[in-house]
Amino acid sequence: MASKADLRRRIRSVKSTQQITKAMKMVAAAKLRRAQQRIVEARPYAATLQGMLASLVSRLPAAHPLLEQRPERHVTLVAITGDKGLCGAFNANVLRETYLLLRRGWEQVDLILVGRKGADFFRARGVGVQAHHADAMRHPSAAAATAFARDLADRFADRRTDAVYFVYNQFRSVILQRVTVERWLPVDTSDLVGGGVAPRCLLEPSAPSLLHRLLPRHLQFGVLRIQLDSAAAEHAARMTAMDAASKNAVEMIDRLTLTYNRLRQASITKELIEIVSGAQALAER
Amino acid sequence: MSGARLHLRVVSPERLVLETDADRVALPGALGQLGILPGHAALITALRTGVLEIRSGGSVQRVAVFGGFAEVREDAVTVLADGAVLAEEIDRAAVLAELAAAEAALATTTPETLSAVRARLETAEARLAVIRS
Repeated sequence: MASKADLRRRIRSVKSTQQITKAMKMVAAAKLRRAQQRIVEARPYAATLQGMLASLVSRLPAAHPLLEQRPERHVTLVAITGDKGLCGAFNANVLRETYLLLRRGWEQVDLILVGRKGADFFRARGVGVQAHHADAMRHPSAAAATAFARDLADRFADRRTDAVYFVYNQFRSVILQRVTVERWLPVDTSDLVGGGVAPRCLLEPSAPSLLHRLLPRHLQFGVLRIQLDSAAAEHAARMTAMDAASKNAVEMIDRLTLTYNRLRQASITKELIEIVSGAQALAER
Repeated sequence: MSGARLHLRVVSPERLVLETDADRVALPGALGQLGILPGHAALITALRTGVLEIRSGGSVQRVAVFGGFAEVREDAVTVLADGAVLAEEIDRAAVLAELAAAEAALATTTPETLSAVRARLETAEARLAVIRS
């Protein structure tokens, strides 16, 4: 049985943990708001880009090296994790999915890890794949996304890889983040065809040249979108996890306080009995 | 009501930069300056880095656009910029410093970095052109 002092110490420690988890929850909530804002702000661009691409692709089907479908022998996997833990299953989900994908039997897999958690995981496991770390990609930014996308697109165009997949947490809502495996290259045009752009319109300089400029933009923006999604999902996951932790701390404090009070009451009763029986013994003498 | 007006939206990957109505818009097209008036034919064009000019009533608003695309459809002009800044967001001293730095970089450039340095120079020039009026 723990002593009163032990219990007091325990309660104090849980209380300070609770303060930390509460603060982390608040910080995550603020960051989540900003991250969500950025997703919303990127939406008009996404819609316009899709529309333009759709009208171009429907005009000249599969006329670009980045649209070329090849048998997938040599693939590149990009796994996006966070730098920090304490965010529920956020990192673990991506890593498990990536791990499963590695067993899928592709001839050769290049693994690109974004975020420290992913790097730590695969360093500890030592899987026999080539792994790169993309440190510049840790924070969502258009510049980093552009450089990253350009590098990957070059690899694909040079036939050093036949497909590029992203594994990341998609932000669905504050309480729902879903691990998603998305093929980023070759560009899937089937969901683009049938866009709502007027069929008769002038194209400057020319359709192929426009497509040549638009496709890389589409890919770069895809990377940025994934980054923003993953960032929002991380904050949401952390917020949920820290909220649960704070609630658990409250429960634990309640339980410990109850035990502490019982113990205190028991010792008071014991002391009273001692005094009373002492007094009785004196009176009987 | 003298007739139709243009509805202009300037979007960059990071935000909706500007949404406004205009009488006339001048775009820095890849093949040269493009003037868009209400009733223009549907058009998709690539843009180079330059200045987007918006005329509305008697006033002119300028926006620096760093490459991208523009679409004109039924009097709606959508500029899909890789980046864009409004005149009021530009700090003259910072731009001048950036321009000087870019020019210095141009002097010591190698063939590999030439296009990057040139892009930097063009962006600085576009920004400067927006606030010089």
